[in-house]
Amino acid sequence: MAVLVNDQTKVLIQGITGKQGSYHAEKMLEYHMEVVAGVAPGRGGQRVSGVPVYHTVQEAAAKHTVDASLILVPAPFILPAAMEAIDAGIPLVVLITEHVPVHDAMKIRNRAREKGIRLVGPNTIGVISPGKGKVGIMPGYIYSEGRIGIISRSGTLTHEISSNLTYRGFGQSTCIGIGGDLAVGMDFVEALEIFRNDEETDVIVMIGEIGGVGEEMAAEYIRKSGYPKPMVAYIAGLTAPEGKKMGHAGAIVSGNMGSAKSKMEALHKSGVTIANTLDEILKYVEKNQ
Amino acid sequence: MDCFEYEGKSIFMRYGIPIPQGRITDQQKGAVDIFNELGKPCVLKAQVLSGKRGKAGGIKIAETREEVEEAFDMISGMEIGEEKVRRILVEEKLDIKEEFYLGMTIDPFLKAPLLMFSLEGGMDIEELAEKHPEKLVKIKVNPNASTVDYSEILAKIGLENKDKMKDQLLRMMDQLVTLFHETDATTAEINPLVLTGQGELIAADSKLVIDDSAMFRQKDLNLEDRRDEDQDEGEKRAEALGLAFVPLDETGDIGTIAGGAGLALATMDAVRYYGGKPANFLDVGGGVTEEQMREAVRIVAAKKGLKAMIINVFGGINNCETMAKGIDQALDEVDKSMILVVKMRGHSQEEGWSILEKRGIPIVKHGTTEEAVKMLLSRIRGE
Repeated sequence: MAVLVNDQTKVLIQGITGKQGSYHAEKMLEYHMEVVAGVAPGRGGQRVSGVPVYHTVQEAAAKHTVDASLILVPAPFILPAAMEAIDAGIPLVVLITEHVPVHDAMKIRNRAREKGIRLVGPNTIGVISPGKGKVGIMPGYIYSEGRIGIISRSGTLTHEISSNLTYRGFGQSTCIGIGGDLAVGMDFVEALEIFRNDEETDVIVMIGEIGGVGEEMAAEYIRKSGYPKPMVAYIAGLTAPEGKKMGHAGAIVSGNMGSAKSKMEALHKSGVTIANTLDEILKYVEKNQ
Repeated sequence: MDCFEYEGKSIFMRYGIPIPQGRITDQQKGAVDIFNELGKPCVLKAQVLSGKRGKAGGIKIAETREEVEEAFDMISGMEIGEEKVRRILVEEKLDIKEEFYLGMTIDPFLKAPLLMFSLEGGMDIEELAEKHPEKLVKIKVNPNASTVDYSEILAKIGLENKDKMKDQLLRMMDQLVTLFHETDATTAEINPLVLTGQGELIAADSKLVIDDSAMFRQKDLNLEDRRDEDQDEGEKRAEALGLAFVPLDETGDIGTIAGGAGLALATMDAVRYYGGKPANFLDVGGGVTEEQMREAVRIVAAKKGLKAMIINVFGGINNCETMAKGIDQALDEVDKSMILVVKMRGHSQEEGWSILEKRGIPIVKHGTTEEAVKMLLSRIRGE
């Protein structure tokens, strides 16, 4: 039984009539997912790839059992869409949309926590347990079934690393795209907790990037909790020029954290192996699995 | 979007936060006019986004007409950081009794807005926060609610500061919290917040940053598009097309294009790791069109002295066929001697590969980013 998603997961797609929504509804169905309903305000009664469309999440949830909502609506409409899914009590909400205003992301995250809803994203590719199920937009065939758990802030780097592993015979138990934004729902720590007791996951690959403090928080959690599984981390952005910062407020709160170096050092101190290149991730996995 | 001081202050004013009297000018005569209107000693402040303004001599006090002219001439045309001074803010010189710090930002640990206050404001606030964290009060603000409990800040102020200041500060904190929520700010900072000899609290400076992702609903702020004054042509075109493009140092001779910020960073990192010099960062983003891809290639290829280019994309939220078509269109216009390697897989990969194969472009289909980078570097060396 995979964590988060499996072959029984019943999915709702919000924004299903849009270009992205209809395309990925098709791809989800090709991956043998049960897409039970779609939502598009003002478009209720239509069908997309045979999936019935409703005006509201409430309406869809009244007619169908829904385990997860995949949200593909454009950023300006994400706040009401996500709030609808959370208020309808859908246990897993995945926000794919990028360029979500951070104030909206904070509001959504706050509400999800109040209601005990698992929120993934925004700005993510979603979640996949290869061969079992996906609630996301990743091309299924570059992922394969196996025992590596992946937690990543970057969508395309997850594709890259998973496909590199796949082509070399290493499959993945679950890949969680936590998203690259500042105010994401699930962070590294929450994802690590999910993998902690997952019997299907032997080795964990963490993919971070510059900005934010998620990797530093994960390093502290790993150290304090005596994390039991072998782990390798790759941090993108070592050669990125440092952005100019306005005012002192950011530095007061996070000091020197946020750089690739700070993240690598923090994780290294917590006993995580640091991969300097993407190929070093493959070498680590070959040795440890 | 970073706001200039005068823009931030005009937004402060809309929310009722008191600011010094004054306005901007780009003419010496304009500066003198403002000085005459105010009828008191002035401060001339270079309007740049860089934080090193004070130390670079971009702020001058003037008490006479001659001093205003002299200060204007010294500041105008200065370069601070890499920014040219184009506008100068001329405003009344405040009678400063005390300097405080009041600021808001988004706390990356809490993932919530944070309000911060200190009785010791000014340039050394970061040092103070590090060495004497007890002197800085931080309050988490609920992102879904506008009411905030300020009691911790009020307790800090102490008895020597009378009720009048407390009332003013309470009002100002409410105004700042409202501004922060309503303008989609990610930083809103008043440093210093000045207590004048007359007992008034005035925002002597402003540092305001508005979330780029929220600009679609912040048109009322009238942040005229001046940010591109220091951008080159390529940056302007990339911005207009919604491509995240950052030119790197002059000597870089390997162009990079990738889909997704993480992969774009990793591609640059790999070029550098194996001894190449990346020329730029370019993330085409999600939902990329043929036009965006074509222009991305043209913008990156336009750099002088560019030897080679690596394109590293996935068909995830993007489509390989669409991207290949864009690349194909651009190739008619770029220098034929430029060495190109494309790594591409994902949705519609077969269609994408076939378009590029007709052009004879080397494609990395199943290999890693590093294999693609190594292939590019060996081709540059003529191997």
